[in-house]
Amino acid sequence: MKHLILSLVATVALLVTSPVQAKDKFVVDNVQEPSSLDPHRQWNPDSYTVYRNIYDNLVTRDISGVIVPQVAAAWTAISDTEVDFTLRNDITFHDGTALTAADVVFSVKRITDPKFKSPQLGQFSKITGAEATGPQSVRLTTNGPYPVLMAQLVKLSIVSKAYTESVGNETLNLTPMGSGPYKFVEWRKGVKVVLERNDNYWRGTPPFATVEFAAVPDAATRLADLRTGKADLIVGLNPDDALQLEGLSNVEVRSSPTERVGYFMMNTQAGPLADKRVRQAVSYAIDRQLIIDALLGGYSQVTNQLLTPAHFGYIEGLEWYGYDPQKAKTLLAEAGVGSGVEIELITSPRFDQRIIQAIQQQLSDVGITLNISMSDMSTFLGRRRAEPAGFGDTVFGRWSCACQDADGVLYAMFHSGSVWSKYVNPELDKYLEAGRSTLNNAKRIEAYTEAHRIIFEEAPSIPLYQAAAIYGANSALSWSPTTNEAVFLMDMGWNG
Amino acid sequence: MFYFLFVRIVQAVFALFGVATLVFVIQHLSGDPVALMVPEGATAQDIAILREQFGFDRPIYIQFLEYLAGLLHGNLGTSYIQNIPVADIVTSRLGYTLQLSGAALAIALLVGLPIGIFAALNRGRWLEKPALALVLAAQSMPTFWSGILLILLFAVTLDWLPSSGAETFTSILLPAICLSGLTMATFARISRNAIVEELGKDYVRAAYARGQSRLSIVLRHVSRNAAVPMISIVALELANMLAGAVIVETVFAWPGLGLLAVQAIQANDFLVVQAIVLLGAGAYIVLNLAADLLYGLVDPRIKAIGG
Repeated sequence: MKHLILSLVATVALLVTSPVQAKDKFVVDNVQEPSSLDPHRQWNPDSYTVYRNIYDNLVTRDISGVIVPQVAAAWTAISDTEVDFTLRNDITFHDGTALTAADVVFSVKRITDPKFKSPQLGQFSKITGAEATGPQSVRLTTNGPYPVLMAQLVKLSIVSKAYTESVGNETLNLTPMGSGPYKFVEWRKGVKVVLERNDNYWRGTPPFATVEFAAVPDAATRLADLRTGKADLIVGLNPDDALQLEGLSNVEVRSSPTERVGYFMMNTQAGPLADKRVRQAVSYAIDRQLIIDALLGGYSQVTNQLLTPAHFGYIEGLEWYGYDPQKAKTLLAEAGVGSGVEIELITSPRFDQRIIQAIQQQLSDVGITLNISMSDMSTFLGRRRAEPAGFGDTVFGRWSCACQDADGVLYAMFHSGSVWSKYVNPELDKYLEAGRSTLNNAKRIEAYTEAHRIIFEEAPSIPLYQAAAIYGANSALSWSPTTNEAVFLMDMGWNG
Repeated sequence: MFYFLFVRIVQAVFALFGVATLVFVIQHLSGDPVALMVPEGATAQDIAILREQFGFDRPIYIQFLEYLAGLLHGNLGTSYIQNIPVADIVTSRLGYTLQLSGAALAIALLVGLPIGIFAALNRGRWLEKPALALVLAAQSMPTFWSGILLILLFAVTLDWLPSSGAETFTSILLPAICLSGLTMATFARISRNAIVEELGKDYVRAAYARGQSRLSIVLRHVSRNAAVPMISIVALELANMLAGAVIVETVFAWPGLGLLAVQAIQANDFLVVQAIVLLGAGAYIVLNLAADLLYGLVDPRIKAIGG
């Protein structure tokens, strides 16, 4: 009803077009304000969208997703557990001081210190040592071979040791100072963060004189901001929101597939889903393409593995069970559960309930009753990470490791030692461990090929789709969204 | 009078203690902020280390006593998520909430009271109908919907006012109008009913008999008597608004306490939620007390003594 009325009003409003011109001030509407502007604390889109423009990272990914130099100009693995980095010598912080090895070492030690209480600790805790081997060279030591190191370092922003030590953590959070393309100007709590161009930036002149990141929680309001020209880029749209931008002049939808995978995970350790035929039946019962076309506006794509082409460990051409309700019924009969089997799904309002209801309907068509247990996010997460006995039967989610590596997805999801796994298979454990304990890419791919095979045969989780990120943008903005959902101002500009 | 005040203050302290305890327990029932803080794929060990560092692994009564001790020293703690003092976070938002509530209350009074008086004076006549229809509409329109309509009309279509945020003086107009709707309707209905009731009383007939005009009777005598029920309603409505106009603030991206509360609850940022709830409870208590004291001023027959 809400959407119907909105679209009626929007149709009337279509008659009036808003003036959107290239301008010096660039405004981004985020959903919430940053939780923190300290890059070593929170890793969430509302925060890193802002602070990654204030700081440089040790390494980064280019538009095609390849890991490329940033602060580190080059690196070589000198053993299975040691990597030497050579840093650029032309980077200065916004206060004019040079960025040196001491700053990199300080940044690594800061984020890996348990007392610092960084939520990102787990992503860097394999790093056991960081030392400066020269004014512009650093050696990182890992606890065993760690093939995901470079992918994790994409997320490591470099803070100034001198500044952080002199002002303290709280001031660094509220008035960040980095070496990135934009300098911090002001954080009006709850309203916006204002940045200004760093004219001395080492990668060239940043595109906009000033940039504001506003916090606008309601998608309808973000759409209004874009249409009135108040905002130039808005994030966090769903396909219904995107529809409202169709046919408007001066604004348009931009989208990109992400590294998030929609999945339907089953508890293999208890209940009817302990029988793999029932799990396969569930997979045959779900019409993934229909869900994408009807509910996701065609923005997402079916995936036949729990990875996307953006992940290391993605294998081209894998198969998955197709949509075949008859086959599902046959398998259920073979498993001796027939119709009338009941399974529970745990969820929280943050997940797209329409998808869950669609799956519920499709399962009921083959005689499986899906009971939805809704709870608040932290109660849900408690059960999600519980032992299989306390988990329930199934869960729908969108997995993101923000590392684009099979280890961050498959190990966490299926290794018997992971709190997220509801599956125990020593053979799979062996391949998942092999995949994370060698730096040899060919051997890793071999291990993950086997892992994909077991996951397909045993079906502990069903890959549904590669999720898309949808943005609304001023048509004059030259920018294409990327798989890792980065909003790098340096990649943007005004057309013409 | 002083005894009355003393009793009320003791009651208030107990009420605040009760609120603090309740919120603390409810929040801890659903887990801790670490659960939401860590990324997907975090190991049991990562989670355990963070819980230990934040002190969530200790018995709940110790965490509670520590929290109470902090409160008694006027220390609301440091936000687990934002890592800055809770007092700073809440005060940075309080001003916005006061502005918005003040503006909405002013609009509600300036529109609601005249409508109430007008409807009361025209009771049963056709003139009353459009006034009551307006009241009904303001009362029944949900703010998430009327808010979007206001934005589409005044910001997108007419381009008169900003669509969101708190940047300029005009930014407050749309959220204040949206927030005032329900309160305005309440004021109009209560004042209409109170005036209608007073109009039937003997002193009104006596005033008519003395030859006073109807308007003068209403403004000089009736409105004063009808004000008594209005005072407590105004106090309650203002307290409601101060506790956070959650939906209106979300729709208009108005950075007040309501929006902050939603964000803090979603992230399980305990201490921020507790501070906002305590502030809301405190506002209720203080405004109710103010209303009780005002009764005595408006109507000397009501004595505050003895509660």
